[in-house]
Amino acid sequence: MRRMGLLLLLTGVVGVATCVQGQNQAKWLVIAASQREVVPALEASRKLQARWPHATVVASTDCEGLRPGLHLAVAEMATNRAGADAALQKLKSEVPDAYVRECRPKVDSTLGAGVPLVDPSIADVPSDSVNWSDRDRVSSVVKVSDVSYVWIKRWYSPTADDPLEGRRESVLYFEGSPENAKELQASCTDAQAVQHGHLLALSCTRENAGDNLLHEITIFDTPSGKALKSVQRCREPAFVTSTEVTCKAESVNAQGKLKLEAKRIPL
Amino acid sequence: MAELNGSVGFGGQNLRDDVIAVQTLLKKHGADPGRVDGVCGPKTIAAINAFQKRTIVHADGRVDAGGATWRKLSAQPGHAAHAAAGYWSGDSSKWTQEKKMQSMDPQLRPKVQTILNTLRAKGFQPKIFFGWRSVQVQQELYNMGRSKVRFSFHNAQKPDGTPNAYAADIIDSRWGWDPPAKQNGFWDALGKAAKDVGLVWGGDWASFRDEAHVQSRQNGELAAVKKESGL
Repeated sequence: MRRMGLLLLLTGVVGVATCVQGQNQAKWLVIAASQREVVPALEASRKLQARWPHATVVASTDCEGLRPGLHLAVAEMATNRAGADAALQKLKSEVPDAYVRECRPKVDSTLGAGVPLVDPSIADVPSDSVNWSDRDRVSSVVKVSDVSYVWIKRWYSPTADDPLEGRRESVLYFEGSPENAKELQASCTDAQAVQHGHLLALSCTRENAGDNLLHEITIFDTPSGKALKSVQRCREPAFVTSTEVTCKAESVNAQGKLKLEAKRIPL
Repeated sequence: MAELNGSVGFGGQNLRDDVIAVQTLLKKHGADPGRVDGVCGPKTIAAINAFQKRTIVHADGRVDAGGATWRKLSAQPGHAAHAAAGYWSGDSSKWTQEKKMQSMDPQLRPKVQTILNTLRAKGFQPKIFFGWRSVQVQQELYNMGRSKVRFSFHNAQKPDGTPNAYAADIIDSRWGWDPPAKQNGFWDALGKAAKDVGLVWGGDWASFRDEAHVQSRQNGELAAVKKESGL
């Protein structure tokens, strides 16, 4: 009987990094701590990892029915209440005020898409970094069609004397499961994407001009992940047809004034 | 002047960016909130109280969005003791070339002057677009999505708030950032001239290019410079 209970408990537990099916089914979160900011939640989850290998950070905003704006250090994520309660009993010996909450993942969230909220490299961001904010520490997804996502993976690159203090955003694309994700851009700040059939237009911030930011637009063929065309200094891409994209061409004059002009990009 | 998103001080919401804005302005007005760190502690509240006692009838230790204290704080420091703060206010991109040069760290100034001379000798028409700019302006740009950083070497200052920028943006006054600057070799010439005097050139940054930008400190020193600045 005891062994059967253990078996049920084990099969009722999922890890966010490997969760690819039933992503939007209700999950039961076994929560060790809740924090407004990412860093303390990440520290709490790391402390758990010795005994709780699936420990992770979940944004309460990603769950229907939970108070938004919190980062939860989750020891275990179960697919049923019984599995969660069993894990909770174990966790309470370490964290007496641990608790369980039901989470119904939103479809347009990292949890709903099955990707980790916080990349493991984020734990290495120096504590005295100046320009890192919570937004830089969490990944996000954009649902660009019924079946496809753009995954903006935010991570830390320990590059010496980096102007962005190692802040990086990679852009990946997947349909269905993140295990099939293709990397579109290894580094793309402020990614914005629009999809049209099998084409995807991605805008990245690439350079500074006085007190303005300038962008690059790249058009990808999503089945292959191949870049078809890139245009420097253009923002806000929009598909007119499958053979034409428009954007706003950027120029900055000697007074620092930004001028935007409509531009057509034939494909 | 940016607006507050919530109240700051005793019983306030104390959103980080709001607290930074209030702390920065308190310093400009000669009050002492301690470090500009976005955390509203007893020193910040005491500084708000002190400022209110000087400027409005009722002191409650709190700055409300659009309220009397915020209006007073947003106004330029008026009295003689804080004339220096007033001198360094306004849009620093519109300051004279001399004032922009004066806003830089004394060791950076001769290097920037050498760069300007070198570029002029090559037939370019260089000008300093930015020397120093305030942390508050930087924060506003960041909030508007027009900058990727909340603190940069342009924002360095002495602990008393006097500008001490370790960076300058230099453009050709005919072209700014428009394509002729590249086509006519201005950025390459700027990069070479900057490196010849031992400065870092932003055009070399693969992750995020900033071709007009030169700086005298390494990016890895940013945290130390922020601390030096009393921020």
